[in-house]
This record gives sequence, structure tokens and C-alpha cells, in this order.
Amino acid sequence: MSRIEDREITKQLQEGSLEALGMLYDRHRNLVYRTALAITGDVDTASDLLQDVFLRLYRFAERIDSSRPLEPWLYRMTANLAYTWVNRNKRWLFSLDDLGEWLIGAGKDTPLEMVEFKDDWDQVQNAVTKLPFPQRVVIVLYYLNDLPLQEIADILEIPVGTVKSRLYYGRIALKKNLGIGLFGAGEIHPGFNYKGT
Amino acid sequence: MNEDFDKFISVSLKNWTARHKIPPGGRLILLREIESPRPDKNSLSWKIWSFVKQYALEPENLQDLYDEWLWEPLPQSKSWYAHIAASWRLSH
Repeated sequence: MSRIEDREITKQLQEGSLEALGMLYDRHRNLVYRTALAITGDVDTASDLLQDVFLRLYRFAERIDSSRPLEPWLYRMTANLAYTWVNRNKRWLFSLDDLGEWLIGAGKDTPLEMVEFKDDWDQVQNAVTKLPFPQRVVIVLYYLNDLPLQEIADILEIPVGTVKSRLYYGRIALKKNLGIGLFGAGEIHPGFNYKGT
Repeated sequence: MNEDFDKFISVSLKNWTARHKIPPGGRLILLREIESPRPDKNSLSWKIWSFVKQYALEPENLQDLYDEWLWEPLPQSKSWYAHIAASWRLSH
């Protein structure tokens, strides 16, 4: 049902309907915003990427195959624009990291770092943003968006084996970043509340 | 163990992202941008900047200006502010 409606709205968009763009924005904004937010870890950047993705949807509407679902296109564009943003900010972020280490000394797990993490959700998001970009995108699409491996492969235009590999090494890096190995076998995090209440 | 880990990561990411709401006015800003895309001098950003420059207003007055144009809070967008700030610096 939703797919068919998207198809019809996309056709209207291709005819230049701004109202159609607004309808698609209302329908898919959460998908784009949350994906951008999880990849970048920055609310302002996610807002900018949200605007940019839908601006491009309007500008490149004629190139979109309206017979196919729109979500993969939105995921792909979000990932591509986030990649550009991460690359642009990499140098700046690294220099800030260096400055931070210089200011607080070389030690890790300082009191300042400890209070930055309010709860498990913050720790997980922080660990995700430390992943190399290719692993980060796969982790977000898999865990946040619940996409199957084949669909992730189609969106990123990479073999499904590469998706599995990035997911595998992403998991290892996440566990390392989160210190999961510190806990007993089968126990993820003492006192973690899955319902998030 | 992987199932527990998967659930931990999935629930944490979903809850973290759900905690952050999309700033209001996004749809309106989007449609305005398309109707008057930058660097078109008819764009909203350009009009606001021109107004600021013409009347030598302080950046704090942007909220009042924006209220007058869109009747909405200022967009919480880094690039938008960067655009205004860069324009502001060029003009002074």
C-alpha cells in the first residue's frame, strides 16, 4: 500500500509538484533524519543532511525509477552525503582530538570522559561514531533500520559478502569500544534495560 | 551471546536517535529553498542577509526577522548559520 502510494507521489514529483515533495518529506523524514543522526552523531548535521537529501530528491527526481521503492534511494543518498560530511570534517575532528589529549594528558577514561556518557545509549552512539565510515554505515543500516544484508548490499552497491565482513569487524570494534569483554560470557551490560525506560 | 549484543546495540541506537526530534519548520524551509535556491538573490537567506546588511542589524535581531518572514523559530542548522555568519563577516 505504502509502496504504491510512494510510486504515485514520486510520479507527481517528477512532474514538478512541490506538494508531492512535501508529502514524501513528511512520510520519510524520520527515516532520513535518524539514519543521518546515527551516522554523524550530530543533530545539526543531521538536520542539514535531511534538507539536502530532499533537495536532491527534488532536483534529481527525473532520474529516479518510480516503479521501485523509494527508501533504498533515500538511504543511499543519506549515506553518500554523510560520507562527504565525515570526510570534510575528518581533519578538523582529528586536530580537535589531538588538542583534547594535549589539554588533559595522554590518559584515557578521564573523569571528563566518564561524565560525558549519561547512559548506555550515549555510549553506544559514541562507539558507533568512532567506527571507520564503511563499517559505521553498515552497522547503522543493520541495527537502526533493521535492513536485511541483501538490501544493505543493494543500497551501498557492494557484494553481500562485503556487508557481512563490515558487520563482523564492526561488531568486534564496537565490543572493543564498549569494553564488552569486561563482562561475563552472555552478559552484555550489567543492569542494561532493553526497553529503555 | 551475539543475539544479546545485537539487541543491545539495536535498542540503544533506536532509543538514542528517537530521543532527538526533528527541528520544526523543516518542510517549509525545504520548499522555500526550492522556490528560491541559493545563491539566487531571491532566496530567503539572501533576503535576510541583505536586510541585515542594509540596516546594520546585529545577528541577535535575526530571530525577529525570521519571525517576520516565516513566523517560526530560526532553523537550528549549522550551515545556515555559517552562511549568515560568513555573509556578516564579508560585510564588515
